[in-house]
Amino acid sequence: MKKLWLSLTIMLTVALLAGAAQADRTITIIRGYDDPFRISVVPFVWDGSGSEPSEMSTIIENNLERTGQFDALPRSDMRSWPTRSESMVFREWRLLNQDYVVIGRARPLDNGRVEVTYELYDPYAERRMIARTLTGDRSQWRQLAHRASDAIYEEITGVRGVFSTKIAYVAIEDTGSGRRHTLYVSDADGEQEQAVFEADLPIMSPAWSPDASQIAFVTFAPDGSSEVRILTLGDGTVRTAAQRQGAINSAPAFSPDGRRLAYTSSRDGAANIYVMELSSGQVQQITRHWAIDTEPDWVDDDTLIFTSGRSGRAQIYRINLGSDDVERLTFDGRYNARARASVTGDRIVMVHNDGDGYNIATMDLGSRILQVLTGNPQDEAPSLAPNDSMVVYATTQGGTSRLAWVSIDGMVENVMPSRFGNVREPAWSPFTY
Amino acid sequence: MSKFKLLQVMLVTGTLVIAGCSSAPTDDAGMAEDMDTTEETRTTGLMPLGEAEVAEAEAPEEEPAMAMPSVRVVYFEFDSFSLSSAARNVLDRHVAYLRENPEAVIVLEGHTDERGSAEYNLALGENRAKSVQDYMNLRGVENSQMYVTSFGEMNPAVAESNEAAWARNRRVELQYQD
Amino acid sequence: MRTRGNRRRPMAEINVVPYIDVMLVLLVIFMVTAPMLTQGVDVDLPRVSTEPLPADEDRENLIVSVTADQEYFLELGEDSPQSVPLTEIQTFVRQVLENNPGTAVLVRGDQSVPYGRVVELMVMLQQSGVHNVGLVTEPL
Repeated sequence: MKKLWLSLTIMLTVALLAGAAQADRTITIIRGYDDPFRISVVPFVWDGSGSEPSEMSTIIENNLERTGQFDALPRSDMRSWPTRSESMVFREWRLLNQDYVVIGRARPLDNGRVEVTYELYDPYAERRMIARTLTGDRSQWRQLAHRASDAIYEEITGVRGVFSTKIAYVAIEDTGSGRRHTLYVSDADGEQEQAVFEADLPIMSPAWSPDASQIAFVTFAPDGSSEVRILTLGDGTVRTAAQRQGAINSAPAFSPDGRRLAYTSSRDGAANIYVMELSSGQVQQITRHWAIDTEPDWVDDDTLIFTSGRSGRAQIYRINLGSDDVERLTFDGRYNARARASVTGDRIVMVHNDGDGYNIATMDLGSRILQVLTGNPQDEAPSLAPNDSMVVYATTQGGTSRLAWVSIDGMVENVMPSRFGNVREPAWSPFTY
Repeated sequence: MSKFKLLQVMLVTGTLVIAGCSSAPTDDAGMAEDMDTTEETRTTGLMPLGEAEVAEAEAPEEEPAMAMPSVRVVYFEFDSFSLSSAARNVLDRHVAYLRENPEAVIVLEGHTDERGSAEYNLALGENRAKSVQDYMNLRGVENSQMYVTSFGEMNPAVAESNEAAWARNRRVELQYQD
Repeated sequence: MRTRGNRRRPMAEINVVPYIDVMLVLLVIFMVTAPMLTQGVDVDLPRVSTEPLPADEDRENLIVSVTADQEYFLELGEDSPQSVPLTEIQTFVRQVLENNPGTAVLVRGDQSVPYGRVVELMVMLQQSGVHNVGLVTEPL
């Protein structure tokens, strides 16, 4: 198995935000690219009270650096902190070897709102690439910074940024007398987490609706049977979508058109894949096999991938809903499971084991080449960013599981320190705007 | 219940677990090794508290024709739901009890270790519980007396990441209902 | 490093200056003709016959001017450049070298400036880690 990351001779260890106060929330960049874009994000000026605008530029800086594609100039290495185009001295930034410079300013508006203007420059071409103004509530500094990051990233790389997207995940905390399970939704960088559902019994398998307005997940009835529920984020309402006493109902996945839900049920004995029409509740059985079939995900509106133990070990299969044709996709490694398809449907990510621990792997569905992306002993639950650039997953080391990110080429890897005991099963949201 | 008495009961039930498992013939060698290495931990701390209390409550009572079996867990090999002979020995006692007490109802709760995906493990845990159900049904226990659930990897008996802990977590718990 | 071909010059003459002794030997000093494009503060450059600056599109040189009234200027193409103290030049030189190692520094010294003032600047550059210093002249 070719592990691409091993070819990296230089491993960069960059701790962002060296400030001790922030240390517990710091994401560690484990690897990055050899030749990143060099960018200066000049602290934004703010003619109001508080220090938020300066934090904005830090958020943009961190967002870009976490992709591994950018190397941000430390503020202490900047000779000047321009805030308007008139004060941009291109030669100064060329001397500092900067490919791009971001400047910005913010001012308070009425009713607690703020206006942020940011500009992106290419000092070599002596050209302004972006000049945009955003307005938002004063409490939305992070969202504003993520929006600016999205635009800057897209302008430079040509790929849509995912900094404004969300991640849902489950945290398990020991309460002393038992375990507390909480479903959280956070920003894509793991910040600003909000508890959206709590239970004493386990929570599993969060999955986003394609419009990011709902999350399907699994929890357990008091009698111990697992059931699929759907949470609407706007009003916090939760409804049960699939439940049967004495059977498992789990592993939900919304179809790309948002109208159906694929899930696993053992209602007729063995665990098989079913699809439910959400408006009518009508259920159709998709697979019929005595072995375990579970973890369905949609490649497109007519095609599912799923994990099956029908060969003796878990492997990934694909089924066409029209023809019921089942095709085995993975032959590499003794165990492949929990596959998730990219939005474009041309690639999957999965948990892979070739005898060397559980790692995250990806397969291009065209070439069928499987590439292992991580090398930790126990990595699980990969989920692709909606721009296919990064995979978020849970990694367990030293008895604690944490969120981690790896780029789809395996070249960049970040890890977030644990904040609440064990963090499991992250699910990356679709684009939110 | 005094702390001392509780501890005593736990030791007794713990010993019974060992007795039940170590009587296993050698076709379950890998499992038996795991049990030996973890004996110390197991006798002192791994029996769930609730079970010890139940055992204490029923043991000294009016001495029914047959006591509710005190070993209420069976273990499995990795990624497997087939019953070892050690497990079958344990289940045979429950078969006898359940046949003698047709009003008794038991929950078979399947569990797995933490390795592999959570959803696959949820189904694997259910398969384990179902193989216990099938085994006991074949030996005459009514299906109406048995109720199958699975928590997969979500409720480990031992929240650690090592071979010994994993061996303790790949299990079906047999829980009698009131 | 910008020390290719015949741009090197013998060090012998410089060694006779006692107070910059060994340190300055590490500096590669070359004489260059002011590039036509380079604008900057008004400096009356020495007129001697030297090579024109080799064109390197990718590489920006850091240019420091010393005017007749002995003020230092960083030539950054600003509309209205301000004179800066030597310490500020030193800070910027270090920032530049940190992010752009091997950057050459060109000194545009007015020919009326006392020799010591230019040497002061060059010692600072050398201490800051600059390895290449060009003394800019006007073509004859």
